[in-house]
Amino acid sequence: MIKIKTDRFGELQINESEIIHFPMGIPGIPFDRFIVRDCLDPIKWLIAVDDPDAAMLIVSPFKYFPTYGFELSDEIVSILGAESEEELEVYVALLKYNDGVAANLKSPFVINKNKRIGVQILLEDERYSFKEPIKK
Amino acid sequence: MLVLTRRSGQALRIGDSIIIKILEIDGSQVKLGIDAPKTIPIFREELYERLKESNIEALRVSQELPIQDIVNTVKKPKTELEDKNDKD
Repeated sequence: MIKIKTDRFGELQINESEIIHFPMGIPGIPFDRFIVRDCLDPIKWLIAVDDPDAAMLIVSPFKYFPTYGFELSDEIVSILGAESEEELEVYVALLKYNDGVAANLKSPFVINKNKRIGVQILLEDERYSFKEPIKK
Repeated sequence: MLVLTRRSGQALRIGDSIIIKILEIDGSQVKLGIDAPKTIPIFREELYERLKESNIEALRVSQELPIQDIVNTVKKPKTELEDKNDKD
């Protein structure tokens, strides 16, 4: 168990078993160990273990964008050590859009929840943008 | 910045494990082939910059977002149109 004092979450207690390793890193964030914690259902926090004040809000995109989808390359599947789709969780980062909320559909996070490995991929698909508004 | 001149078909090696090959040159466009370990992410620079900015923005705005609004969005019953789309 790791205990860390943070401004945002108070004293954060982290179990080794919940740490997700991002072997390819996350561009702009100089850490590779993260945890996912519930915020306000269905929204979650993605928190850097080595600096928990580096945290972003994430959500599973499929309820908000029912046609959203992508294929993973063989390389990414192998990094994730994924044997089936059921092992994988997909999240997108939440951003501000005017006075509402948008999601980064261009670069989703894919996490193997069993093996605790994550990647942030960048989709070539032109339909998806870095800031897609979520309709109220 | 190190500057090297290469011809089509020639390559560069970075360290033991990265090879960048000049596959084709056509006017101002160059087609490159890259061999690198799979855990080394490779991006087009302009997309990498946008991704980085987007991630930094996500950290910055995380405490300002009206998340209750989107929680309400997802809890709202489906409209007839969405329901129809689901059945199609």
